[in-house]
Amino acid sequence: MPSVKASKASGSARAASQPYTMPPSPPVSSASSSGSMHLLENLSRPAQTLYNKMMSSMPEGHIYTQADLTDLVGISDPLKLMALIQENMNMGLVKMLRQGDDLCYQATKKEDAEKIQSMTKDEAMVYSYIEASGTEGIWTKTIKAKTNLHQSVVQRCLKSLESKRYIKNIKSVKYPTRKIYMLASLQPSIDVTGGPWFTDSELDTEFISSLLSIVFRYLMSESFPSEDDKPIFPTTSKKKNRNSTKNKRREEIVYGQLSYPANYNAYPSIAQIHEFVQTSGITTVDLAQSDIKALLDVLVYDGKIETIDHGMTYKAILGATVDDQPSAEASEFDSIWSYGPFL
Amino acid sequence: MSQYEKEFVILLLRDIYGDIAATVVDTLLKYGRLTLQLISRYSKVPTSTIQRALVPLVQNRFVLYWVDNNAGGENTTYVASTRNMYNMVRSGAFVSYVLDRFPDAAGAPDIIKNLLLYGHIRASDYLAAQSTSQAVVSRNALTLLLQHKLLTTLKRHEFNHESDLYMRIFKRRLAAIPRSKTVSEAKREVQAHAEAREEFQVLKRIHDDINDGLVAAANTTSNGTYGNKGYLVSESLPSKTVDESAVLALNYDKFAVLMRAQILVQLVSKRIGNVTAAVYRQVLDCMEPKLFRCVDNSDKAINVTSLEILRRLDADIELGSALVARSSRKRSRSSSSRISKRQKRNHDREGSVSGSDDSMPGSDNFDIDSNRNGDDKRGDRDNSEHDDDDSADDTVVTNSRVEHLNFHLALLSCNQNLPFLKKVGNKGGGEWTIDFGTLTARVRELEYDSLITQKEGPIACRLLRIIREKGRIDEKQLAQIALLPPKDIRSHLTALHEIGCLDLQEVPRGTDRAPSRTYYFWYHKPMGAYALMTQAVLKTIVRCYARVVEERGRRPGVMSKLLREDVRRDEANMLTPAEKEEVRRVRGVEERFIAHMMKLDRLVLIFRDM
Repeated sequence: MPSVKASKASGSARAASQPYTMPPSPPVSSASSSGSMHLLENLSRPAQTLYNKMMSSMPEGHIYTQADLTDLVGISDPLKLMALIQENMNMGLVKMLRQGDDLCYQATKKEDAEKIQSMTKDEAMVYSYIEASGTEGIWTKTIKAKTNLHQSVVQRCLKSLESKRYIKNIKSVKYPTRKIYMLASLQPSIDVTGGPWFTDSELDTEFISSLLSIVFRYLMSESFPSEDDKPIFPTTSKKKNRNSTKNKRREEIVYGQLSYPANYNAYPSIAQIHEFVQTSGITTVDLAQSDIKALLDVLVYDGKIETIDHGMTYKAILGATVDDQPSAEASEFDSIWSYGPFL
Repeated sequence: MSQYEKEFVILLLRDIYGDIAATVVDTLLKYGRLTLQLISRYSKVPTSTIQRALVPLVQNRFVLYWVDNNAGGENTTYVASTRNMYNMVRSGAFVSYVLDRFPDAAGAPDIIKNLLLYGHIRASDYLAAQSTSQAVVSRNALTLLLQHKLLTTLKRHEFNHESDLYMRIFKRRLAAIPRSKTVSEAKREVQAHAEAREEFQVLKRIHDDINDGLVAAANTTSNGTYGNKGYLVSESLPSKTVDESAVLALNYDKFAVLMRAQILVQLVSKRIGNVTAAVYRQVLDCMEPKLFRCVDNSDKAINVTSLEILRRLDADIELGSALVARSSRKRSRSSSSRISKRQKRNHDREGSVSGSDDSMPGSDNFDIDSNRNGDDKRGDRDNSEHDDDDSADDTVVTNSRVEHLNFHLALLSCNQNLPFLKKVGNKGGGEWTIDFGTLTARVRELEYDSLITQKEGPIACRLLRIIREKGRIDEKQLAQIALLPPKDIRSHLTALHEIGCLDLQEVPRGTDRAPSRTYYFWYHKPMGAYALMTQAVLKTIVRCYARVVEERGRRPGVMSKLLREDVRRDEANMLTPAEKEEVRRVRGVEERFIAHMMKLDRLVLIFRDM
């Protein structure tokens, strides 16, 4: 499919193949709504018809070729049609795009056209670039480079646009020092926000550690038998009949080990752990399976759990604790570091 | 040979054998191979004194000698062997091990103590020095220790340094290959080296023979079992007794093997449980007669079968009770449909690979009934091939014990991350082996990790593990995987760098080496890191021992009084209450530090000797 490039004339850098997310109009004053009427009234009647037909016949954001428009309004004379389109374009109601070698046209909403009409030329240009950047946002330096405007002009434009609440400043995780702008109505993409682990573009360590401990506890409960599990080999009556001294001896060497057998196959998989986290209501943040995998990897690296079945399922390691409290054994070992110089 | 190891052995010698011995060894360690005259010149001690000091050192093989017949006059040279001296630190553990292992062999601890004192003794001399009744006990103990390879015989060449021996073999081999015009000199040498290496290996394994130092007993053996003609009591070894002409010494190589087994069993009990650990101990016991040293043992893999293990396993250990199936109640509690689907899938998979993977007995561990059936079937089969003279009822019990045992063995072998066992066949109810190389490497990793966790905290350990798995990794990615803010991990990384755990590699992106355009990769070299850790541990051992010596030195009065013969005999009455208090305090400190040294020595064993 030929790529759609925005023509210079329309001043829009948006690629048409990108899903068009029309910003819901920012709070519009009554004056501006009357202004939008005014915008249409400025057009000639055929031009108005063209615009209305473009808006109503197809869903928003549809791209028309010249032939489409000819069919739409029934004007076969290219020059006449051009005049109507030009009229619309002057008002900012139609954008011209280029798809391959062909020119195409797209209608914009009245409110947006109004917005752009109310801006200065520079502001409109800056706005168009910010709009084109979509949910990724755009760095002020990039705006400056693309618009060829002076730094102070760009600054002024941004300031006025921000004060009108058309755009907003966002913080990027990748480039925390950059000033990045995007349309006020959009949600920043995951690349910018850093995914579920970031809150206000900072790694939310507390959130992560609480999730880690919850996942670990869950695995712990699934990895080791509890009281209500039945032994595979119920003790035979014969064994119980042994004389008492032997029984006593046996008690000394037994031990309290409870293990699932080696071929036990109900250790939780990632999908199960994911479901557990989602249904447990611990967090409202939407976590993908890959996020859970990241959590599990950390637990593996912490030496608290291990993968079995070639990484298909997970199992807690016996003796691991939730919050690394030094066990009795560890404190005994501490003395290795406490005596004398070391390393 | 490290600085701290040297420091330690000199300290040890000074404490036990006195200043002269320490000075001689110090000189030898400083200058390497020396003749008597040179030792005297460098140490400024008269030769006659040095000669006296050398006697116990050579006896204990702390100093090895070499007589070169080709050199004229001054033809004996001496080399110090730190490893033999270092082994002294394990002497206490050796004695206590023998006490634990052979509580019934009365003479055994005394033999060990005497060997620690004299280095080596001829069996006949040792027995002759005792009264007749004592000699019988000692003979039994000697036989027992030799059978378990805790004692080894000494040959003349073992008082020589390995490199000397090798060179002698090499020269002889080289001379045996005729010079010719068609074969170049270099080729001749390569061939001689190959032959010499082979012969040297044989020489090193000279004591691996099961009857080393033992001879067939002439008549009724004294160890209580009857060697009647043609009939041997089943559990006793063929009746052998100590060869009186043999020269005996302690076998520290074997002792290291036994210590390693202890460490492994401890790990199993920590990771899996006590019952499985008891099983594992038996597995290692079964292999033990074929394990002579920790590294470079022999070329053949050592296999044991389940039945062998079972035969030796304490009948009182209840194997079955430790294994449980998931209860149905619990199953229904979790989302059942999904799990049952998983089970089905797993079942299918198990069925399809059952040919290769039937190490897991009883494929359906959820259904207890079917398992019992499986038991019985297996029991029938085993019945025919394994003839026990127990009652039929007992056989069923034994066979279900094989089943239980195999569950435990499967448990030991199932963990890919920590393979305690490996299944190699189905002979004798299942044939197993241990890949010690892989296993000990993993044990070292775990031990290192736990040391790092204690020293630098869990976060540092998490980073180390990531780096170990990823090879080389830069800080940004490291932070991403560890789910930690980049600025937080830097301090941990530098701390690890400081103790030699991590290294940093720079990879410039362009021709200029600007820091902003350079990748920095962290990586972990295990061998180097372990070596540094071993050094640190040795250093700590030295400091501990120095402290013990210092504590004693601070109280010269009471310490010298303790050495008096009459005081030794009757400490309670010969010391004043104040002196007693002082002695108690010194001994308390001593005990603490020496116990600590034992713990540190365990680390040395793991990182260096295992």
